[in-house]
Formats: sequence, C-alpha cells, structure tokens
Amino acid sequence: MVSLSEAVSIAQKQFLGIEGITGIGMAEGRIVFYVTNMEAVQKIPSNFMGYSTSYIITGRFGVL
Amino acid sequence: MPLNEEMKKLLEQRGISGISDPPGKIKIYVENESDLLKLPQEINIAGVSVPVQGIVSGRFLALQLDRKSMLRPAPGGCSIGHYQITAGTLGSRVFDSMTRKRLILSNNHVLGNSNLGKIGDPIYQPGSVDGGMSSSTIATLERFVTIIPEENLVDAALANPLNDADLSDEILDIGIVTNVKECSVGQTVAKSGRTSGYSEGGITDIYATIKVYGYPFPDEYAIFKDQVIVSPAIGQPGDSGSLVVDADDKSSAVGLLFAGSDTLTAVNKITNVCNLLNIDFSSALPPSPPASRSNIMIAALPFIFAVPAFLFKPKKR
Repeated sequence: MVSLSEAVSIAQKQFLGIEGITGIGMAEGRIVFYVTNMEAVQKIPSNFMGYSTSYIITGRFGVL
Repeated sequence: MPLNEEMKKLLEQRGISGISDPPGKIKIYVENESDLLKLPQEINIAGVSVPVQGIVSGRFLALQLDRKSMLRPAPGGCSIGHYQITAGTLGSRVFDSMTRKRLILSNNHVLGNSNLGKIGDPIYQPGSVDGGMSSSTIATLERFVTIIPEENLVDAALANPLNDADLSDEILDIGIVTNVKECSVGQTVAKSGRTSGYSEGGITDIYATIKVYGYPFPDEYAIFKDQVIVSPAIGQPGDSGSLVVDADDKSSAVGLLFAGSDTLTAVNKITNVCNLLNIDFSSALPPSPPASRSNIMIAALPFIFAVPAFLFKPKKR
C-alpha cells in the first residue's frame, strides 16, 4: 500500500482536471477533495488507493 | 496597586485622563491646565497620605492607523500595489539573504501584476484603488517568482524601497517578525491585511494542491502545490500578500496569504517563499556567500522571463 502522501499526489494528478474539483489535499488520515458544488461530489470515490476520502464544498479559489 | 475609591472617583471626573501610582506619589494626567485645579494635594491610600503630582497630557486616544492611507514608514498590513493593479497588502519587510538589503514582501499578483510587471516598475503605497498615484511611489519592483499555469509553489514578489526609512519593520497588530517556522495541522495562525485587518484561523491542510483563478484574468487559473489551507477564511479581496504568522508566537512567519474561496484561505508556505526569493526575516544574519546560493538560478528566472505575457497561457474553464 502506498503512503497517504503518495496517494494524495496520485489523486491530484488523476482528479484535478475534473470539472468542479478545485483542490486535493489531506487531513486526519484522509484524502480531502475541495469541490465547487454538490454536483462535483458525485465524481469523488469513497476511497482511493486504500484511503478514505472526504470533501469540502469551497467554491472556487481565487486571488484575493 | 488597585485603584482605591478616591482614585476611581477622580478618574470618572471630566478632564481627568489617567492615574499612575509609582511609589511615594500619585501622578494624575489631566486634559487641560484648568483641570489641575480640581486635583487634591494628597490622596489617602491605606491610611497613608500620598502627594499628588498633576500632569497636563491632553486626552488619550486609541491609535488606529488607516491601512488604506499613505503611511511612512509603511508597516506590514497596509495597502500596496503595482501601479497597474488595484491594491493588495504589504506583507512584511524582509532581508535579501545575500546583500542584507531590506525589501518589501508581497504576492506576485500584487507587486508584479501577475508576471506582467517589469523590473523597476513603480509600486504605490497605498495601492491605486486606495488613492495611490505616482507621488505615492514607495518602491520599485525588485523580482518575482514567475507564475506558470501548470505548477507553482508560491505567488511571491519583492519590491525595493526608494528610501529605506520609508519601510517599517513592524506589521500592524502583529509586531516584528524575526524568523520562520514550519506549519502544522491544528495550528492557529494570524494575519494583518489591508481589507480585513487582524484575524485568526486554524490550519486544516498543509499538503493541498489547488486551482486558483485570476492569473491574470478571472476565468484563468494556475495550479499551486504544497499549499496550506486555513479555516475559517481569514482573507478578503485586498488581503493578498499578508504575512501569516503563528498566533501563539507572532515573531514567527509560517506563510504568505494569496488566495481564498468562500469558506477557506490558501497560503504559500513561508519556507518555499524564502527559498525561492532568497530572503529571510532576521536582521542579525550575515550576508550569505554567492557560491552557497543553490537557488540563485530560480531567483533569477523572473529576470529571464520578465515579460512573459505572450508566453503565459493560463488554463481556461
């Protein structure tokens, strides 16, 4: 099994190009998906490479 | 020593500004000379008569600087910007690790106009949306880390003050930052920004890769890796460039605020910012020898790509 940080790196490459997924990180041993809206939640797997996933609806990140 | 009843009554009187009780006497600060006449010669404290000294001080007022006004010396936390942008935040004074020169740290999209700025361009304090104009020029664009669509670590730039005395070492509501530290999940952090002032939040992620819109147009994004996520959001438009510090140790920088969503704030790790710009926060460090600067090429990249607008093809959604 790959480490969590490796799994996050792979998830970043695999999912960040998907519409509505605006970021991927990790917290509390899970892979965290930052999404723009509920529609994007359907595109997130419940686990990835053996690690649980969670999501946060953030909207887009923009420069401040 | 706690105020006794007589002193409390005095402080409630019109014209009395303050009371101090050093050993052997009582000092009473008053607004006007005429208020001196209201003062007793002595005050009884615990059965002992203590002489009173009256001092005309005027009224004490809370000192509150307008972050959007022209400030000299300019502290961290106030309005600043490249002459062609609206405004962001002056993050902090920093030191060039090689020359030890004091420089201004903020974002590329604040000081470098998102790669479109040229080295030597004027930097206004306050930024133009806050009334800045050519007479408000505080510095010139020194260097920046070029932002590319595919992968970035930082949105960071430096400006070189025209007059060293115009740059304060302090950050409003935070003080002087002298070192950096790694951040961690659960840590409480703080920032002082041009728009929302001082605020605190908690770090929830230190390994995020995010798409950030606005480089240089609203529907174009660039990807940032190795980012820190703070919740609840501590930044609003105009707070970009704020230095993020450890809330329990405000002399330690942990990040550089640059982006946000409706609910979260995204922050570059300060270690990445320092490495890529070759800067530090300590006035006590000696100059580093040029041979030891492994990142000198990275720091020089902005010069090589100083006018990359025609090459810069941000991703569109």
